[in-house]
Amino acid sequence: MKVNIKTVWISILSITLLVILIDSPASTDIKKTITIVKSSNNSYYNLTIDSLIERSPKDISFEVVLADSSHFNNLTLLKTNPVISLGSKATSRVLGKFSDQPVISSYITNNQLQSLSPTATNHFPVLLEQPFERYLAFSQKLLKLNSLGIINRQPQLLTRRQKIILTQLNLNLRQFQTDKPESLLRTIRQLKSQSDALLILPDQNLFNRNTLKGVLLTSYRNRIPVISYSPAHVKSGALASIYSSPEDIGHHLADLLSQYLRNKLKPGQTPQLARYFSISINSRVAYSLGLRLPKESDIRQFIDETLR
Amino acid sequence: MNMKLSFSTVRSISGLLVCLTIFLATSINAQDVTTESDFFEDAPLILTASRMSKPLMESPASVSVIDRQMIKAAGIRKLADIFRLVPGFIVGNLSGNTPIVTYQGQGAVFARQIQVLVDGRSVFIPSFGGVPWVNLPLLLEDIERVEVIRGPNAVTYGANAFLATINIITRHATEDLGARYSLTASDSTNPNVRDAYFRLGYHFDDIDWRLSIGTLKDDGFETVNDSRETDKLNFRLDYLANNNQFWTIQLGTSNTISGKGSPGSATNQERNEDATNSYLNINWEQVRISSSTSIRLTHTEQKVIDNYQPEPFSIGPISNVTTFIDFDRLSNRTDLEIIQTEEFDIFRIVYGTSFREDRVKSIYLLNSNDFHDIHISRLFTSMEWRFAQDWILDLGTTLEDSSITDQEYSPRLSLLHNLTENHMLRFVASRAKRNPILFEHSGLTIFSANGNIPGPGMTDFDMKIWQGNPNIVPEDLISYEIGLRSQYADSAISSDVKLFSYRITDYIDEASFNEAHPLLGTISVGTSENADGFRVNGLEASYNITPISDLDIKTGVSFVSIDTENSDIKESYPEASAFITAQYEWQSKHSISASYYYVDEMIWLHTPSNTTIPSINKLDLRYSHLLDESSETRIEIIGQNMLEDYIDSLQENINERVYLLRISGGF
Repeated sequence: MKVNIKTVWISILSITLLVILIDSPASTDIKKTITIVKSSNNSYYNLTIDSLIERSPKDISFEVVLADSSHFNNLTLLKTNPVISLGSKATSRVLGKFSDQPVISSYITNNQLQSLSPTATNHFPVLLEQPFERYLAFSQKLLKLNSLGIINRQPQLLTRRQKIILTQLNLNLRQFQTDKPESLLRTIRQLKSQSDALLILPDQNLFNRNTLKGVLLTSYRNRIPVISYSPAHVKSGALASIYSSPEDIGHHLADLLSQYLRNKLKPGQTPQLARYFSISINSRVAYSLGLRLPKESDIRQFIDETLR
Repeated sequence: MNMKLSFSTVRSISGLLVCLTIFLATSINAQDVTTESDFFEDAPLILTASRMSKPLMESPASVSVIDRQMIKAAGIRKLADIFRLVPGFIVGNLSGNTPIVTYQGQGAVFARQIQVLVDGRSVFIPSFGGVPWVNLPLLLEDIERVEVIRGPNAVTYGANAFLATINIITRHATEDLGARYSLTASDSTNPNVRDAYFRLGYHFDDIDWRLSIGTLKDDGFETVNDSRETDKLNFRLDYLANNNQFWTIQLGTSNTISGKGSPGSATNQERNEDATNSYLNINWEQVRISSSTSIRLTHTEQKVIDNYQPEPFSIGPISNVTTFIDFDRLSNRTDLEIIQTEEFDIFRIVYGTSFREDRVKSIYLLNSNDFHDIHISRLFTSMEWRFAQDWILDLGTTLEDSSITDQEYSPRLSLLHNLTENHMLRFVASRAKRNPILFEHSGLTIFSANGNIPGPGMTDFDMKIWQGNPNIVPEDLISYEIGLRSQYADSAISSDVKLFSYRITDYIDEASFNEAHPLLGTISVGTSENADGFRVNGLEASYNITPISDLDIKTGVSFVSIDTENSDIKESYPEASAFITAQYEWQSKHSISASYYYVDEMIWLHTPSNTTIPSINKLDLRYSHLLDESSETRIEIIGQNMLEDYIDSLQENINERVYLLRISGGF
C-alpha cells in the first residue's frame, strides 16, 4: 500500500489540533457562555455586568442568573467554565453548589471573604477594598497633609512597601486604637491634636450606620476632613472617597476573565484588591471647610506615579 | 396656645424617654461585617449645605465664633462671660446673680437690642426684655459653639436682632455618648462656688439622646444679697428618619432661687426671688442634596415669684405707708417657623415665615391679672448670588407685622469681593427695627397702699409709677460697614477688621411726665418715648494666631465714637475695649491659658445711680492637667480677677480674686 506522505502529515496535524481543542480550557464551549450569578437585582450589579460585557471579547456570550432563583437551582455547568459571582450571597451559593468550578467573585469585602471558609483554590476573589497605599497617596495629594489619622481596633502592621510609600509621601500615619464605638468620638477629638485628617477604613465594628452620624458631625465640627473608603459616606458628609465604581469592578472582572481564558490565572492566588478606582468629592464640605482641592486628573496622575 | 411646663413635668417626661430608650435599646443587633452595602447603598444625609456653616471668609456680616475649646481655655464658669471673648461686647453684673451683656453700649439690665437664640429658639423675655442669663435652661458643658453676628441681622432673625445676634448652638446628642461629670468649687467663703454637672448620653439605631443636669451655687458679691442656687435639667433627642429627615426634640427647665434687695432699704428689702424657666423645642428638617425644609415649634415659659410686704415707710407727707409689692410675672413665648432653602449653581435662596405669640401676665407690669398678648408674623427671604468670579451679592429682607406696631421691613445688602485668595472685602448696608416691648408700649404699674395722711388718718390710696406709651414707634437703625477678612500662612493667622457707622433714630428712652395725685400733689410717672437719635462710628478687629501648633492666641479690640447730646447714652459706650486669650498645650496633657480683658470707663443704664465704672482690667488664668486619657479625667485650676479688684456695674459690686478647682471626667 502506498502511503501519501502529504495525507499522513495532514492527518497528524488534524489529530493534534483536535486534541489541543479538546484539552484546552479555552474550548469553544466556554467561549460560548459565561454564567454570571448576582445576589440581587441591584442597579450597581447591572452596571458592572454592562461594563464586563463591553470589555470582553465579542464571541463570548453571558448568561445572568439570580442567586435565589429556581433557574440557579437547576443550573448545570461545564466544569471548565468559570462562573462570575456578584455579591457575598451569590458567591456563597456558587461555591456551595459548584465546589470544583472556577469562580471569579466580586462585591465581597475582606471580612466576608474570611467567613467563606474554606477558601476554594479555584476561587478568584476581587475585594472591594483599595490597596492601603492608594488611600495614603490619595489623602496626601488631596489635602497636602503632615499627618493622617486612622482609628482601628488593633494597630495596623505596615508592610515594607507601605512604609516606603509613607516616607515618599512625607506623611506621618497616626494610629489610634479603640474597640468601643462609644469611645469613638472621644478618640476623634484626641486625633484632632495630632492629625490633619481622618481616614476611615472598613471596620463595621467602629464605622457603621449607627456611628457614622457622630463621626461625621464630630469631625466636621472639629474641622477634621474625613476621607472614607465608601462613596456613600461622601454623600453623607465625608470630604472624599477613593473606591471602585461598578464600572471599575466590571473592568477588573473583564481583565480576570480574559486572563483565565488565556490560562494565565493560576489556582490558589491571593485575593485581589481593587485594581481600578474612582474618586468622589463632596464639594460642599470642601467649601464649608475652606479647602481648595486639586483637580481629579492631577490626583489620578499623582497616585499612578506614586504607586508605580 | 398656652402650654405649661414645670420642672417636675419636664423631669418626668425626660425620665420616661430615658426608660423608653433603654427598653428599645435591648433590641439592637450589632452589625460587624463590612458589606457591599456600606459602599453602594443609600446613606443618610448628615452634613448638607443647609446644615453646614459658610466659610467665615464669605459671611455677609461680621461674625465671631467661640467654640467650646475657647470657652474651656478661658476658664469660663458663667454663661454671660463667654461674650467677653467677642470684640465690642461688654459684660457686667448688676449683682452677682444678674449678669448684663451688651454690644458696644446702651447696656442695661433688660437689654433689648440683642437677639439671643439657643438652637434657634429666642430666649428674649417678652415681659421686661433682656435675657435671663443665669436662669437659662442651658448648661455650659452642652454648648458646641456660639456664633455672634456683630451688627444688625433682622433679615434672618427679625426685630430685636438690632445691634447684634447671639446664636448658641448645643451639641448634637450623638456627640455626647456615655456619662460625664464635672465638679467645681471656689477657695474662699465668698463667692463660695459649688457647681456640679452630670450628663448621660445614649445611642441606638437612629436615635440619640442626652440628659444633662446641673446645679450652680454661689454667694455673689461679698456685701450684696445676691446669692443664687440654680438647678437645671436638659433633655435632647435627635432622630434621623428615612436617611434625610432630622427630628430634634429638646426640653428643659431651670429654677433659680436668688437673693434680691438691699439691706436697710424700705421698699427693696432683702428677699429671695424664685424664677423658673422651661422650654420645649421641636425641630423637623428634611434635607435633600440641594434644598431643605425645616419647621420649628418652640414654647418658652418664664415664671417669677417675687412678692413681699415691706416694713412701713413714708412718702412725702404720708407716714406709716404699708403696701404689698408683687413682682410676680408669667410670660410665654410660642414660635412657629418654617424655612426653605434652595441651592442652584450660583444662587442660594432662603425664605420662610414665622408666627409668634407672646403672652405676659403681671400685676406689677400691667396692673392686671389677665394675659396680655402680642402677635407677630414675619416673612423673610435672602439670596446669595455669585454673579461673577470673586464676587458675591447677598440680598435679603424681612417683613414683620406686630399687633403693637405697624408693618415694617428690614432689608440688608452685602457685597463681597475676593481681593486675593486670602483676602475678602465686604460692604454691608442694612436696616433693622427694635420693637418696643410690652412694658414700654402698654405697661402700667400702680401700687395700692395704705398710709397715715395728716388729717384723714389711715387712708387707702394708689400710686402710679409707670405708664407705657401706646404711640411709641420702633427704633430704627441704618448701618454701614466695610470689612476685610484675611487668612495667611495656611490659616495660621486670620483676621477680621471692620469699620462701621450706624445711626439710630426714634431711640426708645425712659422719660417721665407729671400727673396730679389726690394726696401727693404732682407726682412724676415714668414712661417711654421716642427720643433723639444718635450716630455711632468705630472700628473693630479680631485676630486668631497659631504661631506653633500647640499655641493658640485670639484677640479682639473695639474703638467706638458716639455723637449724641444724651450723656447717659454717650457714657454707656466705652471708647475702647479689648481682650486677648492665649492657650498653650504640651505633651497632650498639660494646658495653660491666660485671658486678659479691658474695658474703658462707662456706665450701665438704668442702674440706681448710673454709677460710672472705672476702666476694667481683668486677668484670668487656668492650668489644666489631663489625668487619664481614656476617661478624659481632667483637673483644672482657674484663677479669676488676678489683677486688682474692680467695680462691676455698681460701687458695691467688687470683683475680688477667686480660685476655682474643677474636676471632670467620663465613663
